Amino acid sequence: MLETPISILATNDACHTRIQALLREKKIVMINMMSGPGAGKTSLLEKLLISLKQKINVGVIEGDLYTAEDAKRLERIAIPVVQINTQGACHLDAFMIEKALEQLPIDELDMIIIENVGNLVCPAEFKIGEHFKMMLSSVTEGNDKPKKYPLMFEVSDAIILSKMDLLPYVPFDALAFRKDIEAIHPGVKLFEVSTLAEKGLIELEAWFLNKLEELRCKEG
Amino acid sequence: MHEVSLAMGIIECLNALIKNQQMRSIEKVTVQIGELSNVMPEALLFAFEAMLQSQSINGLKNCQMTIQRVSAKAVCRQCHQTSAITHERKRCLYCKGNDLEIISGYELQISEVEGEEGDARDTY
Repeated sequence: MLETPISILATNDACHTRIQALLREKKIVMINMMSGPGAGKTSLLEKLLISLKQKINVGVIEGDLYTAEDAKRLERIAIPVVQINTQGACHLDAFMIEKALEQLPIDELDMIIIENVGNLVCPAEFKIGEHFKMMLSSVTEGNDKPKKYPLMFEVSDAIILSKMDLLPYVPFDALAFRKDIEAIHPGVKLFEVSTLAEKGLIELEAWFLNKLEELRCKEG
Repeated sequence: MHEVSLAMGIIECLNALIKNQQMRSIEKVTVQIGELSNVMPEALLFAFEAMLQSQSINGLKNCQMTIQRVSAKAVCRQCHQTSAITHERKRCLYCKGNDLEIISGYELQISEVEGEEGDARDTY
């Protein structure tokens, strides 16, 4: 008989706790950005960070199975970035993040954004040191994604409906999408964004800055 | 979701219990899987049995796993009643409010082990 249940993900979760202690010491907020492949995470970061980096010091941890393409894109806008290649693993885990943090100038950073592996299933299950989770779902993926992949929508602190500029050209039922999200995650913050048309980015940037403020107030 | 690596995680936990000299062998393990998690119990059982066979760890050779499903529940912040919930239905069954705190349903944990206590090094 066990006195307390043992989490199966205990070693990952212990690493998550270690990372959070480090982030608390350095006063850094970390955000875990998730989505299916091609929803627009990197493009959004390319646009958003140009403005955000004028206000705070932000670094990025990029996660992909293979290639350093996404890291190269962010290097071009002069953001400190580390690329993790999982070489097959379909999500990032806390150990990968702990290692990546050693390569970032954490004494100088206010915020770290993790761009997780493009996958609507597995990243939702893993705590990787983040304070907040957010996800993108694009209009081109269809409005049925919340019902098909509810866990990711459920665990995200904010949801971005992306590629809004393409809404007139795709059979996306925005009303049904909002209704399903409200059923799965009542009251969750929903942003409607177009990176290409630069719509919704100001509100989104405000949310990121607010999260930093919130965390610093909470932890003193 | 990664039933094989979860099975390895369970085996590592059990191995740690044996190595820390708390158990000589473990014959039964009960694992609780929450209804809201992305884990298929049948796949986890299959993966556990396969991993055990391939690992051949002293003290775990005959270990049987039982999986308990933990139902998803939430407490309403308005009326303080507890309701059963699903991914798609998160309303209080009593007052119909949707300001709920989820209290169960995400579990991935070992709740019970049964076996022989003692030092595994004492086996002959």
